Order: sequence, then structure tokens, then C-alpha cells
Amino acid sequence: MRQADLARSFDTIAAREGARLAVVDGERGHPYEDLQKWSEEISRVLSSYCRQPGQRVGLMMPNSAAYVAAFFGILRVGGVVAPLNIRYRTQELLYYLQDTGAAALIVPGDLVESAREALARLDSVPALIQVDDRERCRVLSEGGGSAVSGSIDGSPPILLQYTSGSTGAPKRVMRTHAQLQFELEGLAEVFDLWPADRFLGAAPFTHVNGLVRSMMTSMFVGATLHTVGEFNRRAVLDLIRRERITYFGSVAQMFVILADTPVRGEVDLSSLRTAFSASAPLLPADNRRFRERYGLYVRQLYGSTETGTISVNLRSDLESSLESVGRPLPGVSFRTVDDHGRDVAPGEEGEVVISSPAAISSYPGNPEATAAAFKEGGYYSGDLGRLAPDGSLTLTGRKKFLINRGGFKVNPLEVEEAIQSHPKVSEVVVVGAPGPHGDDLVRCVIVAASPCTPEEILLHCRGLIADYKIPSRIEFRDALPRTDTGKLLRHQV
Amino acid sequence: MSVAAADILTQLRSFLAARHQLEDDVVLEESTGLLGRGIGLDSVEALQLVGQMEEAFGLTIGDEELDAMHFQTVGSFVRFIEAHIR
Repeated sequence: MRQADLARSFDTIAAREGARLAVVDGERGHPYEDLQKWSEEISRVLSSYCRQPGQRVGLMMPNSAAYVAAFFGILRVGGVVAPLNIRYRTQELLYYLQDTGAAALIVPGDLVESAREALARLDSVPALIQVDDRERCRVLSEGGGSAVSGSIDGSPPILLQYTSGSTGAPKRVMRTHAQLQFELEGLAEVFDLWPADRFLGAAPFTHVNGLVRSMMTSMFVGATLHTVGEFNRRAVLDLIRRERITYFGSVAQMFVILADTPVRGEVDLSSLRTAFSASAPLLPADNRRFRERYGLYVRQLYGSTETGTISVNLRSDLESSLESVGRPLPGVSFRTVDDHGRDVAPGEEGEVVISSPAAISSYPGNPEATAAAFKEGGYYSGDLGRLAPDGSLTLTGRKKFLINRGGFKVNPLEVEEAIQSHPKVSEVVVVGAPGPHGDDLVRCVIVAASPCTPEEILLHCRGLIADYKIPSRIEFRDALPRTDTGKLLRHQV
Repeated sequence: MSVAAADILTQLRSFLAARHQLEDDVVLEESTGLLGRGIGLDSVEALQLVGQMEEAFGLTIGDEELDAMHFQTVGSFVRFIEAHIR
């Protein structure tokens, strides 16, 4: 496989596109040549902290031009970007900073205080750097310097993300330049993308969907990216109409909300050449309501943190295949297997196993999880699905017990640990419950040690875990269902 | 209860019933919680509910006005929508 360097690729595209707009962030446009210079400034500062290739840099920022500049600034010095969710609470941020062994943490001004709170509790402290529209790149505090680094399968790493595991701590997913280059080329090909395209960057860049399929893809093809820091229903619709957006990839929840947003007069979204939903299923009923209001269907795309983009439904007769996630991208393949790893017949339900040059082949530092998920060159996704005779896939459920909350995977054990730490909680179990939009709700059942209210649990959770992990269903019971030997019957809760 | 409040409650009940979260005989009281307790709406459903109210009463409510405090109880939500109808 040829070596790829996405920072060099960005520099080449920036030189080619010059004064054309790379990112429009609110009212402010950033031409390619300016964004490239900004990212070089960040690289110069980072070079003091990332002295070896493969050192990690935490990037905790909302969707913005600053995010893009920082991202390529990190890549240029051979660093690994560790995107961190801006919704993380101190305890979570602390965990990820420790685990990444970050040499530096980049945040915008309004997250400086929460970052400092976490850094104050770290032994090995990363440098704290502010990057935003006010401070192009300002070092706020020097770090104690960690030296975690290294390459994967001979290719330089670029991204360190985390995915929840069914047991234990979140698993590390480290993807390389070569893997991402492959995925970006595939996306550019299947969506037929050009520099003239105008992308809407509304899905969070902290998540693989917004990061790779919107931000990175847009920069890869030399298009213009309109970033949305905070989702606002009518502002997004107005942006699509006003800027003649052509590419809108997001999560099901955003399309559901837009489908239910009344609009005065006609809202012309005819500029959208590509609209796709990923990370959680978009139910046909929601998709039809979206079409009734705006005149187009949303395509379903299938991907994972481990593999990148797997497939997308590109059929022209979407009405008859709304549940399908389509056929694999070029060079990617999938099959469906039974519990023994044997292929099941088309039409039968089986676990989806993916093979892709864009996929990782191990979870660094976690041989048990690696052995369970990566076998014979394939990634066992834990997703259940049915293959159609034409090779397209329809997802039917999950084999693993993670909760899919709007595309963010929630580990019930992590939520249970947070709730269990409340002094009035004797026992707790957290499970997923079917949500109205095809994803899951986080539901918890508690056995209280003393009188306790849902508000007390919610307040307690808010200080410990990100908002999307906090249960939206809280129930109290006298006891939890268990076997004679005391094992929790999670599925009976 | 004002006519508008009664109409808002009717809309709220139809929204919740359509999502199988409300039995016919359940009484929606002023203090019934809409978010984490009782009904348990999430943020997507809260925005869908606002969309339904906008549709039913011809309103346009800015997202910047959608503070969680308006969704705490049936009473606070009805007052929030009522204020936009006036």
C-alpha cells in the first residue's frame, strides 16, 4: 500500500485552491491559503511538544475553522489527533488525557477552565494550548511532557479514537494515514465529489461521522465546508438554502428534528446532491416525513469507528429500499455469519463481518478484545443484518449490549458505575430501550438503599458523565431479577 | 384553564400518545415531569414536540429560546407555549 500523508495532501490542495474558501465559520470565510498558514502556525508551536512522530494531541473543540486548522497542524508535526468530546465532564476528560498520554491539549477559550480543572489532577500534564478565532495559537501552560508515540503496521498513525467495549475500559482505535486516505478516496468516488461542492459540517467533528465524512472529506477534495458549532433547526435550513449546500452528512436525530420542523413557505433544499444519515438507523417513517417536507430522501450510510465507512445506499429508487445501508464502498466487503463464523444465506440474519483496507486490525493494548473482534482478516462488528441477493445490506439489530444513543455508543457498565457511586443506591442496572427514532434510550433500574428521587440521580450523573450517557428513563424497584446463583438477568430488566 | 392551555394540553397528549408513552387514562398534571422523570422525553423528542406545537398554532419559536426549564413540567411547558400564542 502506498504511503499517504494527509498533511502534505492538505498543503497541496491549499496551494491549488488558494483564495477559494476552505471553511466558512458563521459569518467568517477562511480561504485555503489562510487556513493553511494558520495550521502552520499551530504546527510551529506544537513542534516544541511533539518532538517524536506519533505523539498524541488532545483536540477538544466544537466544529469550527479553528478545529480544521488545529487538526492539520497536528498532522504536520507527525502527531496523532485524539478528538475529545466537548461534552465530557472532568472525570471523563481526565481518563482520556491519561490514557492517550497526550503531549498537548488544544481547546477554545470557553473550555480553558474545564481543561485546567482536569489538568490539575494529572501527574503527567500536557501543554495547554488555546486555539480559536481570538487566539490563533496561544500556549497557556507548559506540560510535563509525555512521550507516548509509535506507528501502526508501518504506516504513520493519525487518529486515536475510543469505542466502548462490552467489558472494561473503552477500547483504543488507532487509524493510520493509509487507512484514512483509502476511506477518503472511496467517499470522493461514490459521492462524486468536486472542489465546487459545498459541505455542511453539522455532525460533531469529535465523532468519526462528522470528522471523516464531513471535515476531512471536504478538505480532501478541496471543497468548501460550512461549519455548524451548535445545531439550530432553522439556521441549518437557512444555511443549506442560502449557501446552496450540496453535501449534508449527519446523524439520524438531526434529520428527524428537521422532518418535524414547520417551515413558513417553501424551503428550497434542491441544491442537496447528497444527504446521508449514519451512526444510527433513520427509520423509514422519519425519512418519509423528511421527504414530504423537503422533497428528498436521506440515504443510509453504514460505518464504524473501527472500519470507517463500510457502505451506502446509492440506489435511485430509495422509496423501496429505505432501510438498506446499500452495498460496500470500492475495495470493502462484508458478509453475514452465524455464531460459529459460517456464512448465512441471503435473507437470513447474521452478524456483519467487514473486511476493508480502511479498517484497523487490532485494539492497541487490548489483546482480549482484539482476539474477539478481529478474526481471519475480518472485523466482527456485533451488528446484525440481512444481505439481499444484490449484495446490499439491511441492519436489523445489535449482538453486543452497547447502547446506541444517537450514534454515540454508551457502555451500560460505565453508567452503572456512576449511578452506583450515589450513597442512596444499593443496586443498579442500565440497559438500552428502543427509542422512537431507531436508536436507543438509556434506561436505568435502581434498587434504592434509602428514599431517593430521579432528580437526585440525574444531578449526581451530571457531575460524572457526559449528557448523552445520562438515563432518560429512571425506575425504582424493590429488587433486580437474578438467577438462583445471583447472576443479574440483564435481559429481563 | 384558558382555551389556549386546553388546546396545548390536547396537542401534548396526542404527541405523547403517538409515541406510546401515555395511556389514555393517565392524567397529565401541572407538576408531571416531561424530561428525565415520568414521561422521560429526550432532547430530540423535545424538539419534535416544539415542532408539533409550531405546526398546530402557527408559531415560530427560536432554538435559542428552548431552555430545559421550559420542559421541566407539563405546567412550565404549557406556559411557555401559551406565551408564544398570545
